[in-house]
Amino acid sequence: MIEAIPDTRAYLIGGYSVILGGLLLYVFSLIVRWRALAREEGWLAEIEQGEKK
Amino acid sequence: MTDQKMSLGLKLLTAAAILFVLSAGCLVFLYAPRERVMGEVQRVFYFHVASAWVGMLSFVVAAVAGVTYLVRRTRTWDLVGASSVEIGMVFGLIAILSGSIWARPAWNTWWTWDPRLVTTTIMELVYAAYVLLRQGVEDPERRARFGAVYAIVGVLTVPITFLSIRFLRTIHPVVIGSGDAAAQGAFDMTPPMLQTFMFSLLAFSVLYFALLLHRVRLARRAEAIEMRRAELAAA
Repeated sequence: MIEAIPDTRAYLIGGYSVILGGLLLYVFSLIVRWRALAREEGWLAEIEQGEKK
Repeated sequence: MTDQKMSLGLKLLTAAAILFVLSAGCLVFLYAPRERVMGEVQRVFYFHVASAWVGMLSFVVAAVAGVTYLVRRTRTWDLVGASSVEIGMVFGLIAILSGSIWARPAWNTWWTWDPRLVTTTIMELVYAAYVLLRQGVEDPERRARFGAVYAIVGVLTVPITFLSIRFLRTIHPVVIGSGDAAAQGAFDMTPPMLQTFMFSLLAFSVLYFALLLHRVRLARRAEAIEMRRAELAAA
C-alpha cells in the first residue's frame, strides 16, 4: 500500500519566512546603520564648519 | 573620508548575489521534486544547509582575517574579521531556526539535544561572546588584537560542528556521504535535488561575499567618523 505524502506546507512557509525574513532584516539593518552614519557625518561637517567660522 | 559611492565591482557583485539567490529560489520551488516521505518541508533543506554553510564559511574567513591582521597589522583585516563574524552569526541563527522548523514534522519535536544541534548552538554562543567582549575593549589596537586571537581560537568550533554528525551518534542527517543508521529525516538526493542543492550553496556563497563587502564598507565609514569625532574632541 502506498502511503500518502504528508501535508507539510505550513512548515515550508514557516521555514522560508525565517530564512528570507532573517536575510531581509539583516540587509535592512545595514541600510539603517549606513543612513545613521551619513546623518552623523553631516552633523560633524556642520560642527567643523562652525569651528572654522 | 570614506568612499560613499558604491564601486562598480560591488554593484555587480550585489546584482549577482540577488540574481543567484532568486535563481536558487526558482530551482527550489520549480525544479527540485517533492520528497516522498517528508513532503514539501524538505525544500527547507536547500536554504537551511546553505545558511549553515555560510555561517561556517564566515567564521573561517574571520579566522583567516585574524591571522592576516596579526601578520600585517592592517586595520582593514580587523574590520573584515568583525564583519564576517556578524554575518556568520546571522546565518547561523537562520540555520538553527529553520532547522528547528524542519525538525518538527521530521523528528516530531522542535528541539532535541542532538550533537549537531548542540555543537551549532555552542558555536553560535562562542561568537556571540566575541561580539560582546570585543565591544568592551576601548583601545582599537587591543580590540583588533583580541578579535584576531579570539577568531583564530573560536574557529575550532567549526570543524567540531561539521564533524559532529560524522563521529558522534546522531539523528541529524549527513548531507554529503553516508549517514548514521539512526539518522531521521535522511533522504537520497535525485540529480535535480543535488543540482538545486549545489546551486543554493553557490548562491549563498556569492551573497555572503556581497554582504561582507557591504559590511566592511559600513565599518570603514563608522571608523572614519569615530576618528573625526576624536579629532574634534581633541581640538
